[in-house]
Amino acid sequence: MDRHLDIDFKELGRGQHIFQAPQSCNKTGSLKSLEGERVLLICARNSLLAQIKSRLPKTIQTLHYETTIDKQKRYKSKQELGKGETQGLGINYSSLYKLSNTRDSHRDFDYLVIDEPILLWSHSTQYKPDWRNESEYLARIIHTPVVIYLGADFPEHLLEEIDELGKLRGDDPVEDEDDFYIIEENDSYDPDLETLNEQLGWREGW
Amino acid sequence: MKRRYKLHRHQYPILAGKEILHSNSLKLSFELLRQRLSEQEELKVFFLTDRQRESLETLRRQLLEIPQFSDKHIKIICSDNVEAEREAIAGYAQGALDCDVLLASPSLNIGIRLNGLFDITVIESVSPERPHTSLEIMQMMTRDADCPRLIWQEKLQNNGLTDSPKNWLIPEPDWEEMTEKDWDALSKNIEKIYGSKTDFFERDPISNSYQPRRASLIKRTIKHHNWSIRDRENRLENTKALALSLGLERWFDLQETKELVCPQKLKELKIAPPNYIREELHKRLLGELEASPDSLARLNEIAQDLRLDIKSQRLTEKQIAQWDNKNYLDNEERKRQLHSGASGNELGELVLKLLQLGKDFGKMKILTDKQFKESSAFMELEENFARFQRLAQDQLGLYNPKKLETELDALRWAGELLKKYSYYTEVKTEKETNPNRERANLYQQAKKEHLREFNKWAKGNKKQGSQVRYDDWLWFVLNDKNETAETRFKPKTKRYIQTFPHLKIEEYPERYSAHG
Repeated sequence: MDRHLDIDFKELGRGQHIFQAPQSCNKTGSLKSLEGERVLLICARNSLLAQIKSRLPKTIQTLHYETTIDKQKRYKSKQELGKGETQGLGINYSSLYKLSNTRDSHRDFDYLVIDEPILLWSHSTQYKPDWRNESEYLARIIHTPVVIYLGADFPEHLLEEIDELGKLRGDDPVEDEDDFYIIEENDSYDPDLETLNEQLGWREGW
Repeated sequence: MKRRYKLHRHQYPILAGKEILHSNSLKLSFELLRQRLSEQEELKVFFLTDRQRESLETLRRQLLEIPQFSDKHIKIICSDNVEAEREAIAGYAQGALDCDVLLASPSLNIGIRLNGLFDITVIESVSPERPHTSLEIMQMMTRDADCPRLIWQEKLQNNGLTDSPKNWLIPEPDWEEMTEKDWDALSKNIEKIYGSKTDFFERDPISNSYQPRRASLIKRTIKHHNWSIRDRENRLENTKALALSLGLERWFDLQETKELVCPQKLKELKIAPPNYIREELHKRLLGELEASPDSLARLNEIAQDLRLDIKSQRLTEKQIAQWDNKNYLDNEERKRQLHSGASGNELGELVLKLLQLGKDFGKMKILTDKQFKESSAFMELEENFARFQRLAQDQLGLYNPKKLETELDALRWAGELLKKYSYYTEVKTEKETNPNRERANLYQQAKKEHLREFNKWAKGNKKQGSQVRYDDWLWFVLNDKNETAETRFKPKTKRYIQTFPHLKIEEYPERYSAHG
């Protein structure tokens, strides 16, 4: 069975979109479809950001830091990040405050991508939690037209919070049956998979 | 029920055709690896652990001491060097692996793509006390989505989580009805659990009342914290259920895993002790603690290797350092190549510069921190420390110190480097070199000894706004390649120099029949 997803994120309408799939199904790779768009990617790990930038240099052109010639990290200033010379920016949650209150130029994005939210949920609460980053995080979610969450797992408390953010965004509520669907590989139906899930009751109730 | 998001769910049995073996000890995991390695020589191993840097180094040492792993290239990636390894990590996403065994800390646990690189993955999660839920464990297990065999090393938790603040559930308040008193209580509760790490609350200096800075973050903290505890209380069962739901072909419970290895071989497998035991062993070897069967066996091994004629059941620091965890032959060979002009690398050149800077004081050389900091060798080291450190890691397995933070770190690092070229070194701190503040008294006496030479030099080297000191002249002379001034320094000056924090460099005695 082909596990390779090929999502065109440009087809998504305004709202919050959760893409839940196991590791290695090309969730992140599908960001290729946003080449040249104004994309803000938020992760909780610099190593992850660096790898995504390396894989998708036309989608994420810059990060909130750069590597100097002697392989040391140099974090960019508020001014540098606010300039917005490139369309796609990757940033760590812990540096989000640098996108706030940039007097010279306010930088907006059309797409906000949050990779591995479960990691971000841990990071934002356990690793140097900071209300300044959280304020910017919320502001970006509320004001960016298309918000995309990419992850393997979304426990119920994550979904609840995303739902609450939807209220703040002013998104219209949709019925479960309307907003829930399974992407099948090559539009094919796999009875084994369904049986397997049925037997194990995986994510019952979703 | 209505929701304000769209859920696009893709299901795929990512663990189909794979097997997970539950191990409860490093020994069992190592034996499984060793067994696998004997079947497949070119085995590529991914070892992901939630240990910190020092423990990863111990792990590498332990692996290298297993004969089957001794010639393997074992690489460590953790938060300290993740930036320096950025290109390598980018290469992993393209399928290019640059080692046989990759030991990684949680910096690579989620999101990083490592597909198709490894034959076996070991996830060492230490204990459910660490904040990794079953979902995160699964993320670790599927880093290489194509790896067919996984070992999950997790101790069985018979009595659940320990009773400590970090494992206490936080009762969720009624968010709509929160008073200042409630926020105060909540803040105290959270801070008890997370120590001083939170800054969710601030005290208004005028009303002296607690105010939440970001209520959303506080809510998230409580919900995530409680969810994590509930999951970790049954992490083993939760992980197993999750693995099976993802199509896992076979889960080997601990007993089944144990049946895969020969009990005798497991018994025979020796794992190098962790640091705290090594430190204890070190004290036993020095005679500071009573000898044990293990320490006597080690003492005999060292004595035999170094050809020592041991009369008492104790060794000196110098002898233990010379043996260098059995690396003495490599160190000696490095030294031989260095002095035959065949070292040919940056580290070798740096060692030669350090040896040149160190000045003869009797049978030893001394390099003061002040003199070193005035030298071009130090400037080169400081400017390129990241590169030198990487070279030392890769070529010599030298990791500490990782940064030049404290005053003597550069000297310490230089000392560790020289050890790898079979030189005995000791860093003497201010406390040791100048315990009675003798230096201040010696200054004038030492200065008198070489006053004429100093004055002559001082005339030509006046500093703007500050006085030229005798020390300036000393470090200049000692760093001058063409000078052999130390041989003509008079006694008070020699004593004065030795009152500064310094690196002591000594040769080891030649081993009897070392080349026989």
